[in-house]
Formats: sequence, C-alpha cells, structure tokens
Amino acid sequence: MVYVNYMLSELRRRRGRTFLTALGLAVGVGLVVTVSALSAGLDRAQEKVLKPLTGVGTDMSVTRPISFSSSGQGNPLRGLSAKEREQLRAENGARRLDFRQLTPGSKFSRDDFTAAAQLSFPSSKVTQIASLAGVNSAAGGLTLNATHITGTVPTQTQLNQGGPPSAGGGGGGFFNGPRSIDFSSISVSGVDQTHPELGAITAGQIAKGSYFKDDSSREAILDVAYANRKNLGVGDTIKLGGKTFTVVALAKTPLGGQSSDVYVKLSQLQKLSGRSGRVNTVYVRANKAEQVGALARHIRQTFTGASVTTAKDLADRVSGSLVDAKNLTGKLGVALELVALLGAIMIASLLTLSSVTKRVRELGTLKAIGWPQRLVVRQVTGESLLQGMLGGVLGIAIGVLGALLINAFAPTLRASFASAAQNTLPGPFVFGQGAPTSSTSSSETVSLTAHLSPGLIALAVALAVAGGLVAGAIGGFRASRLRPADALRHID
Amino acid sequence: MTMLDGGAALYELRGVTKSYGEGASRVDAVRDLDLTIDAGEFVAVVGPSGSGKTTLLQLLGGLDRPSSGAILFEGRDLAALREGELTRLRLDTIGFVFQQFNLIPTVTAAENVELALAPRRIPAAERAERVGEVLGAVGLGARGHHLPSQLSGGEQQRVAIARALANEPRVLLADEPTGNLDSATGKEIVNLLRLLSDDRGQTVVLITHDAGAAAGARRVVRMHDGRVANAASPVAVG
Repeated sequence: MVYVNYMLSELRRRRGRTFLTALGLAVGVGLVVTVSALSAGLDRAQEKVLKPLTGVGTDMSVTRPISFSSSGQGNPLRGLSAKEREQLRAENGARRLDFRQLTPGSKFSRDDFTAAAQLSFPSSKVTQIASLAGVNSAAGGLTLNATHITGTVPTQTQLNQGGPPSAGGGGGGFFNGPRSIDFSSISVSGVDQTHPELGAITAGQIAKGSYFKDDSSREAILDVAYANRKNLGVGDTIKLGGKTFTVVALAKTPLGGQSSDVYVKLSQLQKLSGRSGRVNTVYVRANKAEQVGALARHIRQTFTGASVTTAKDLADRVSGSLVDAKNLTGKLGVALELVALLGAIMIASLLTLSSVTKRVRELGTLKAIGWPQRLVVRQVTGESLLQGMLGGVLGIAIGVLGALLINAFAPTLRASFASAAQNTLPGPFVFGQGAPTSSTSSSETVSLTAHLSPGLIALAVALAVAGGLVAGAIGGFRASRLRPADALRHID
Repeated sequence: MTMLDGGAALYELRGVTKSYGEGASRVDAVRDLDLTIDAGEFVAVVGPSGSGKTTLLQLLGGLDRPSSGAILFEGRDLAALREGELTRLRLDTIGFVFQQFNLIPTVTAAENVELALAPRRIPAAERAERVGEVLGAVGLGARGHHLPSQLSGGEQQRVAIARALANEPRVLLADEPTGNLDSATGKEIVNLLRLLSDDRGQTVVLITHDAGAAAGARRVVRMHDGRVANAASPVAVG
C-alpha cells in the first residue's frame, strides 16, 4: 500500500536516525527484560532454597516450647501448668547421677534422653490435629537429646577434690574430677515411618541408602554431616539407649530444617526414652496452600502454648545475599525500569519531533495537495510505530543478551537461616546433663540465573510499540500544527 | 474532465487585502486587489520580488485567508470556508506546482502521483490507470518507476505537474515553476502548461518574476507593491 511504502521509504532514508530512535527504545525495553528476567530468576532461586524448608510436603510444624528469658533469670517453669511441670520433671530430671549409690571404682554406663526446650504431649494431639478441617495429613515426631555416660565411679578422694557433682551446664567435662568418665551427646529424632513424606526426615531427603521399612527392625538414618564426622556409613551399627541400630541410609536436611544426628523409628524411640505415647512435634500438611495461614492460626488457638511454624515463617528468617539481591532487584529494579523506559520514550519523542521539523516543506506539501490533517498525523505516527516495532525486536535481543550474560557468569548467592528458638540453655539446670546439640542447617548457596519467558518477550514488544505510539503521537501533534502554506515559504 | 462554460468567472477577487504584522511594523503584501480569472484562462502574474504575487497565490489556493475583501471561487467566498472544506477544495479542485518541485524523494514518480490520489479512496485499478494517464500527459509515461533523484529538474517538475493534475482540478496554481530550471527547460515547462490549457481547457495561473516565462501565457497580469498594475483584460499573445 502506498502509505506503508512511503513510511518504510522514509525510515530507510533516515537510516541512522531510525536506528538511533529504535535503539533508544530498545535499551529501555532491554533493561526491563533483563531486570524482569533477573527478578524471575531470583524468585526461582529463592523458591528452590525455601521449598524444602520444613521438609518436602510439610506445610507447618507444631511444637510446645518452653520459653526462656535471655538473661537466664527467673523461673522458666513459670509459664507451665502444674501438670506440665510434673511431666517435665518426670521426663527429664528424675534420674540424677548420684555416685553415692554406686560402688567406687566400678564401671558404669548410663543412657538418658532429654528434651530441654520442648514439652512433650500425647500422640492423641496428632490425631486431633489430623482431624481438623483443611488438614491433609499429620505425623508425630519426637526429638530428644541422647546422652551416654560411661566410665569408672570416682573414689571418695577424687570426689572431694572435685567438689559435688553438678548436673547440667554445657556439654562434656562437667566434672572437676578425674578424666575417667566419657560423656557423649547426640540429637536423635523419632520419625513416623508410616508417613514417609511428612516428618523430620522424609524419603525424598535420603542421599544414600533407603528409607525405613515399616517393621520392627532397629534401623537408623544418619545425618550426612554426623556420619562424616564419625566416619559411619550405610551398613554400620550404632548404639542408642543401649540398643544396637543398623544404619540404613544417610540423609541431608534442607536449609532451615532442624537436623538431628540420628533418626530412628518413632515407636522405638518412644519406648527407649520412656515416652511411650508421647511426641513433641507434629508435622502437618494442609489440603491447599492458601489454607496454611488460617490453619496455623486455628491450631495456635486450640492448642494452648503451641508454637506453629509455617514455611512462610521460616522463609521470613532467611537472610543473606539471595534475600539482599531479591530486595535490591525489587526496589531498585522497578525504579531502574521506569527511568529507563521514560528516558527511552523521551529520546524517541525528541527524535521524532526533530524529524518532523525537518520535513516541514514535505508535510506542508501533502497538506497543500489535499491531505487531511488525520492522514498526515497518521503517516507520522505510523512511521514512529514501525520504529517502535524495530525497537522492540532490538530490545528483545538486548534483553536476551543481558540474561545470557547473567547466566554465563551465574554468580552464586547465599541464603542463611537465622536460628530462631533458643536451643541452648543458660547456665546450670535442673534437667538432665548437657544441652541439646541438634543443629540448624544454617546456610545454602544457589546459583543466580535470569529466567526468560514468552510473557516477558511479549511485554517487551508491547512496551516498545507503546513507546513508539507515544513518540508518534507527539510527532503527529507537531505535524498537525504545520500549515500547508509552509510548502511555499520554507527554505530548507 | 470538467469544464465550465468558457468565459464564466472562476475567480473573483474584490478589494482583497492581506497584511502581516501590527501597527508600525505592518506590511500590506496585497492591497485592495481586484481580479477576475475566467475558466480556461492561462494567466501569468508577473512582478518583482515583494510585489505580493506569492501572497496572491496563497490566497487563490486557500492556503491563507485575506485580512479583508472577498475571494470568490466558483461563487463561494473562500474566506468563509472552514479548514476542512478548504482541504477538500485543495484535494479535488485546486492543483499546486511549486518552485522546488516538492516531490517526496523516497518514493517513485508514479507513487508521488499516487499520493495525491490516496485520500480519495479510488479503487486500485482506477488509481493506476489515472497515474498512467497523467504521467503520459506530461510525457513521462515510461519513467514512472524512477525516483526523483534519477530524474532531471525538468522531469521532476513534469512529475509535479502530473501530480497536480491527478485529481482533475478546476485550476492549476504554479508558484515560480521555472525558478529552479534553466531557461530552455523552463520554456519546455511553460509550453507544457500552454498545451494543457489549450487541449484540456485547464485553467492555469502562473506566478513568476521571469518575463520570459510569462510570455508563454495568454494573459499577463502585472503586480507591483501589492496591487495590480494593469487592467485585468486579456492580452492577445501570439
């Protein structure tokens, strides 16, 4: 069509200017593409990191913690009911190591299971929670500290030298007396093997070996880090509470997850630790992701003293360069995109405007030979639109290049998890010996990639075309102000 | 081809004045001008630079409005028409030829002519036929596919004339059409205009400072200081 021919020929004539205008739009658009791709990539990285946070399939975990004041002053048992205090004492503090009852010089060995920071509750709570509306499934877990003391009972003189034995305090070496006592402490979790997808460790987290069999065999899964420290592997045996367990697998806990050194079947740990029928964690999976928040609130309301941690809560505690990058892209990124786009449109508009000013005689002639206003404006706008389309294509190229560069360098980002609950006990304590040593998997690295999508490409084209339209409207307005008499007067 | 009865007035200008500026700096480009142009005439308006002849052309073409007076074109006062009506007039009824040719440099000769037809919404076949016809009338039937840069000055002006003829205008207004051409080529152009006037009854108004170019017309109107210097009566030219 003659109009389009005319438009194209005009753009071809002012090749340099056309390219410059398109390039201006392209840079703005390209920046939008790159920043958006970066943002999408960060979202994916964060999702990758956060997804297995509570254990794949676990939407929230419920515990009954005992809160300690940070200074260690005051009675931490204040918040508990009489019944709960009794329970606590019964589970953790009843048996103290009283050497006066043992024969000096004889060998002794003792296993204890303690859970200093968490109160246990009956397994019926698990079924209770499982029956709540919105709950897909719930599984119970028991996380304890297993301490093992062996050695020789010190003689009277040795005792006198060291002073009375004090219970509690930090791990190891709490005797001032002879070094004839060995003390070890590991964290152990009881896992409900009938729910392989829900719990402290899930089937999906097995790095080597296989998940528990649903039978009464004494099987243990070790945390990879613990296994490496102790030089243990699949097939080896460990002793727990005096009983022998076979290592059937090694597992890796995800970022933010509570990892214990050893995992065994729940029923077996319950029996070993004298806590039959009791758990101290409930892992819950909701029917729908949107229901998680409401469900968490409901559980908090119905279960007094309960602490419910959702994946979102854990996500909020993640910090590090990944989070920083996300925040930066979020705030700066949007600002940058806007500035770039505005700048691009301004440049395009100015260049279009100047080209109209250069064509006063030509456009005036069109008016003189009878072209109505709207056709002249349409011609200028059409040219600008074509420039915009060219800018869109170039912009996509720039954006893709930017994304490819990011992927080529693929800088690694770190996500660190701030451990929330106070696990370490301040000072000497009435319960058991030593503090729980379960560690929180603290940080993970992930590679940064920029993610392009068809939607993003379409957005880029739309932005460029819109930019072309704006520039075209401005140029068109200027063209509309030209007088046909300019065909005669203007000397250029 | 439309043709009014020979002798019917196409243009009637009565007491037309066009001023620019205000107060002390006011300039009267055209002063109290009376002029009649009949259909089918070939009129040359001659005068030195500053005589107001270009302003007169603008007024005749509806490119500008007079400060006072009436310009009747086919009985209608141009000053009273709205901008849209004037645009329509320039499309259908008036053809322009410019000193600098004013062709679109990036499209071919045929496309330049076609651009004049574009706002009319004529079917493509009819458009192509019309383009061929007018290009043939100016002697460039075979050169339609050339760009203006590939044509000589005289050929470019012929294309411009073809473009002006495309919509079968009642009057052709030519502003110094030979100004950018050498005298030989200039004579050719004036001869072409003469031919169109004789053969097709085309009314032509030619503005020029060149007496030689004016000699080709059948009637010469002299202008000086914004006024017509001689009476508006046809002068027989051999």
